[in-house]
Amino acid sequence: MKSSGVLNKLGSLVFTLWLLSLVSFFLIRMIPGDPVRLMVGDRGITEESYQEIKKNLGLDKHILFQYKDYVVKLAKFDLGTSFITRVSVWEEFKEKLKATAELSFFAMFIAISLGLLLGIYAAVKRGTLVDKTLMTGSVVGFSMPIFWWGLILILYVSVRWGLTPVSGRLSAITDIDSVTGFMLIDAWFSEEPWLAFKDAVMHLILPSIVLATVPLASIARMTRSSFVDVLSEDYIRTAYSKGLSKSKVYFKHALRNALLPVVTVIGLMMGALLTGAILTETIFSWPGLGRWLLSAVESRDFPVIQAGIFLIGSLVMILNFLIDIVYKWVNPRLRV
Amino acid sequence: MGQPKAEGIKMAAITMDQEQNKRSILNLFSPQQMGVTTTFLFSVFTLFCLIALFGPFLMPYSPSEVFTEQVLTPPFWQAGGTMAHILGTDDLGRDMLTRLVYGARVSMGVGLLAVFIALTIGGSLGFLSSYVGGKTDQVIMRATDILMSLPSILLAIIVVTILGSGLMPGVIAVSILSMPAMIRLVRITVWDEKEKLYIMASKSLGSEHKTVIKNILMNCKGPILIQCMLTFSEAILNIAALGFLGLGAQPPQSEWGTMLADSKDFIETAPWLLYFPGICILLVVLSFNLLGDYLRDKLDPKLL
Repeated sequence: MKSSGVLNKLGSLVFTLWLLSLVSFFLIRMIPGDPVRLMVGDRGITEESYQEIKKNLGLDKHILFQYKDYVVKLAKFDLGTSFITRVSVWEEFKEKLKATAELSFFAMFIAISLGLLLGIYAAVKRGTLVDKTLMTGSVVGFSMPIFWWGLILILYVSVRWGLTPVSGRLSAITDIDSVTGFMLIDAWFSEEPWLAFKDAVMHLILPSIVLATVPLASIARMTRSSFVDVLSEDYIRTAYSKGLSKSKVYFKHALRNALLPVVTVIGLMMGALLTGAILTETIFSWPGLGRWLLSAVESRDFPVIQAGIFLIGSLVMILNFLIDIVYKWVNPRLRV
Repeated sequence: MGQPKAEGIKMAAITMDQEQNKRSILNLFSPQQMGVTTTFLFSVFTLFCLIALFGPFLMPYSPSEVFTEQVLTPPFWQAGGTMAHILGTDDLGRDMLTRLVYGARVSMGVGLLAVFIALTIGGSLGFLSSYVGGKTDQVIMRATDILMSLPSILLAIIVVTILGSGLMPGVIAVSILSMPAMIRLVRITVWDEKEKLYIMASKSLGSEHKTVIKNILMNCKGPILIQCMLTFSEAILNIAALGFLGLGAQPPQSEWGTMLADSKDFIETAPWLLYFPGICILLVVLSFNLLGDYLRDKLDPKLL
């Protein structure tokens, strides 16, 4: 890949990020409701303190100046403080991001490992009943309303069988100091590391299964079709005729080439993953980005919504950009 | 000079093409073509369509009718269930079956509306983008990029918050969500088509824009049809998700997602409140997705 290609892409990334900041800034202003009044709630305030709060928040200036302030602060990574919690949005974002990242990472781990395995298995057994069952299963997974699926899992696994906790990241009795923000790591710094770790994992299992469902289905499908395509290539026949074993052909020759489209699909999933995370976090009371934003929208917490949309959007765009580069680097055919 | 003759040949070719296309699309839905599974799914889907259309006329109750003596009655096959309320009643004593049937109407209606909006607005934008090209294309594609970079449900939440929660804002949100995919698909299919020789030939014969556009569109309808089907099932899932988050249809209205949100508090005591709406959503979306798959295989084996 030529470096000018990367520069081009970087340029368009920066441009899109700027547009995103514009959209996130102005879109929020269109929401009905006065933020100051919403902030003080039903208590009501005097006109003077109303004006004062407005001035402190910078809401009294012309909207263009508000945008200028916003961009200047953005450049300094100062994203303002939440109207509600009075905590720096950036700090809040980092903390919530860890919760969502932990959940998403675990979910993607399940989705990718299982999806690849099932996809390859279906491709190898193509045309058989196993293949048909797996592929029908993948369409079911793809069509699953995950908020319902989550509730069904809670009903059976948590409530009826009592195997996992119903919601949250940790049980009330488990005490973990926040060191890194990732429960699975922090657990090892607590007094009873093994118990704490087990507790964290138990809380993680159901939400990750729910979040993994749709990506798992698409990865399995994509892997299957790409693997089937690759298996009919000439070089696979050559590999067989060299006398290589089946497993060598599958994993050494076929998998590498079959993986390329799968990597793209996984890259494109970032946005969908966050969408899934919002629903999953709502069902399981998981304190992540999704619930953070949802409650910010409900309480008209402007700085949080603004920054949240910008940060999450940027995150997805930057991840996609990186995946794009990795993809081109991995795929020799695109490396002109 | 040669103009009228060329026009005549073109017209004949187009009509022949149309005839053939009509026949082949109808043929695709014959049971011999579809096989057992697809026929079954097609029937399931047709059933849901019929329920959405005529179901409400057959229901003895209204969806908001409250039976105070029969709060949380289980379905008839469980102890305590009655035939009067086949699928039981909810926490306010409303008949589940009636609410599900009315909910089918809402979901299908939203799906259709979303397809209509996505197709008219998104389709035109996509077409414009590739047909005009240049700056127009750039602007539209950048906007699409931004829309796609935002997690879809987040975007829906923003739209709903600006317009207020309710079914109509929900529909608009859901349509906006399906817009980028539609724009991109129409753009890329039209792009492929307009570069083909027959379009160039048609242009060099001096055809008007209208004729060229018609020709292009006639040959793009397979992928667009499939995208419409995807939009439909996605819209049903998304509106249910919004209802579930309390941002879509509001409580008295019987909508599957809202019904699910209501059922959350009765998971243990009344699981039937949880089962049925979810099964309905899953069945409609699933049957439609599988039908879409089937059509995709038949119409365009290359498209994955």
